[in-house]
Amino acid sequence: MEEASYNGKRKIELRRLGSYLKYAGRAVFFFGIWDAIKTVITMFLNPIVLGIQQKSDMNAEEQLTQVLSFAVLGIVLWINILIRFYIGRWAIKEGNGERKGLFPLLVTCVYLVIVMVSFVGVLKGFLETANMESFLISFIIELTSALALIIIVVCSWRVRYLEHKVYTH
Amino acid sequence: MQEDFHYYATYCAAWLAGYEVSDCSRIAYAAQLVDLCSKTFINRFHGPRAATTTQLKTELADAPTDITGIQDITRVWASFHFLPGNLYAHLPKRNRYYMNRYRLICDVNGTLLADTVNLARKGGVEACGIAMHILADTWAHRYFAGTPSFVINDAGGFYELRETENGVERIKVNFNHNPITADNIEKCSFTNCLKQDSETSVMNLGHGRAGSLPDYSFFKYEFQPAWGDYRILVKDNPSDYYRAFCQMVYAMKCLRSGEQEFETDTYDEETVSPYREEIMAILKKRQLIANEDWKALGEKLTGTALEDFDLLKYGDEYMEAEKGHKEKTFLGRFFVAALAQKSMVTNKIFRSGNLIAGFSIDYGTNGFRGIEDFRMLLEEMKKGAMDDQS
Amino acid sequence: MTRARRIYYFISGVILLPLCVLVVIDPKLGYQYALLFLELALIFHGLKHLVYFFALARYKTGGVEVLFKGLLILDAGLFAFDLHDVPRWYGMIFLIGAMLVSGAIDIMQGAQAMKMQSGHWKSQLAYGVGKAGFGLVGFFFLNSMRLLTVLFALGLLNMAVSHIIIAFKKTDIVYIQ
Repeated sequence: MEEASYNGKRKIELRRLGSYLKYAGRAVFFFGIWDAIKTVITMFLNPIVLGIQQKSDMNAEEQLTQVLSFAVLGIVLWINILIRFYIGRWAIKEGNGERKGLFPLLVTCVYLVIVMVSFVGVLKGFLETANMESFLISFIIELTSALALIIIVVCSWRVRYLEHKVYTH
Repeated sequence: MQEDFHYYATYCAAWLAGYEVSDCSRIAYAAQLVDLCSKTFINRFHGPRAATTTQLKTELADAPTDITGIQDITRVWASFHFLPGNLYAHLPKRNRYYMNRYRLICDVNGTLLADTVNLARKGGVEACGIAMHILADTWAHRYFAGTPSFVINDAGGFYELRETENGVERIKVNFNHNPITADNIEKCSFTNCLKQDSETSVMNLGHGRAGSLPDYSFFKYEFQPAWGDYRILVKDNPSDYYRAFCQMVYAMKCLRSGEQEFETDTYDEETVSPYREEIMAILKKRQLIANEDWKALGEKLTGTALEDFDLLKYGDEYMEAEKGHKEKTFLGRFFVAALAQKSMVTNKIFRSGNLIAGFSIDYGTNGFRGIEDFRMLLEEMKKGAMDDQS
Repeated sequence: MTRARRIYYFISGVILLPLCVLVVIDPKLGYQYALLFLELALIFHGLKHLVYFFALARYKTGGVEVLFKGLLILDAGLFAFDLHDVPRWYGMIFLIGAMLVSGAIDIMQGAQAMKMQSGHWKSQLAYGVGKAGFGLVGFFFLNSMRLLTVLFALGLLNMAVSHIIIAFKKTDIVYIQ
């Protein structure tokens, strides 16, 4: 096996994209775990949740509404985490050369759009409160999350394009 | 490379280049000593510590990796084990910090190799031995740099390209970080350095991430070096080691003649060809070390017994020599040659605009009061100049 | 281990000792300083990785790993920054959690040292078990702020003593020549 057969321009590019996919996939996966930890800290250990039975000024209906809203929020957050795990795992497999069709890529694209929309929420919050510190922190955190997803989407499309070119030429 | 090539193979090459048996022994000893002449060894004989040609694991473990520490490490490893191939290499879109490391990548047939061999003309058989060690290591250690650098020396994607009855088989290399377990050739399981993403960790010095694969003469493999920009490189050790051997024969013929300038990319295949089959059989034999086979070849070539390497062989001679006469002993000449080599390489790296090996001052021309050890080199250089004039 | 690393461990151990006393004597102030110490360390570590990526690692095969590692650590540090303004209880969870994770990493490294038959695997494992143990016990007593504070102080004491010991011990390395 000669070096020349390994190092065609397209093969090098595919290897580069595969590497980016693997690492970006791992990043999304670990961000998912990190999100899970943050969710546990901010959501399930909220004193209001734990102390809800002690609140005497709320009637049963209000308490139920509160519990239900927390439950829905919790479910949404956990779905978010599961989607990240799914995307992360898929991207790692894509990076290793396994092709699983277009569905995971479409899920990633849709999720990326949702993350970009959340940027708008962060910006809106800043405009309302003018809290630079909070804005910066949230912005950077959202940005890191989005960066890995952008890399996955771009690299995955490019890999498919290059492989299509290989097969059709 | 290991003792099998540095000691025994160099002995064989020296004989083929026309040296007497006694000189062959001394050249081979000097070549192997480069891998063992650490501060600990030199301190034992109260020799000049700047003449170290290697660093032991224990010395590296506590070596500082601040700027001066890195310079110290680079001076040793780039001068004797990972001779840079091209100090003026150019890559587009890379910054100076990266290029300073990239330019230290060891490769064969660089201008520094010619400088190394031609420098050895001024020394004796000891200098010849040092030059042969460096020459051989350029073939084994090519693609790695003699400075701690994660972005250069990290590597992955190792696959052995094993020749079988059914053609070439591609087998994944498994690495572990347990130094106690021996490398297993058949299972393709080897020890390497732990991955450390700290740029200046000593784990990222040289070919640590490739384990001992570059030092096994039988091993042919592919891998992705960190600097390769996702290219896969194929390292054919049997072929490279054979070329190293032929180049050593040519280099030693040049040195023996005293007048012929060494030119890179030249190999004395004609002299070696009658023994090609035997040599390739040794190189391709799947074994962790080939001392016995090379020794047998050496004894067959010279018709005399070849003693095993004894580290302390010339120690008493050096210790018993009076001050002022130590430079005339084997170890004394070895130390001077090592100092000269280190000076030359450090100077070349410095002149290329790269400070990673530290500053270099021309002690001879500027009359500087330099480091005590290098005054020994300066005195020898002066003596050599006076001898030339007379 | 390099000299610089030994100095770092010694200094961090010396800083952690009074910090653990402060946490017990004045939990509010001690907690603030402990959180500050952790977030600055995380942010500095994250930024270091990012600078390294843009200076050198972006040219490396697989260098994007450094970028993501830096972003993840920076994210953790920035999250800790946010905890100054929330009830102390959240911050304690974060600090205890960080201790637990750090202890788990030390246990893994100790197990690796054990495989390598290094002479120091017992002390490394003990250090990791101590840290992780304090962290784990803390999660069972989330309701008691006082107990959490004491556990955290004990964890800091464990870290301080271990860092000082590490600064003076010999190290084994696997190095291929």
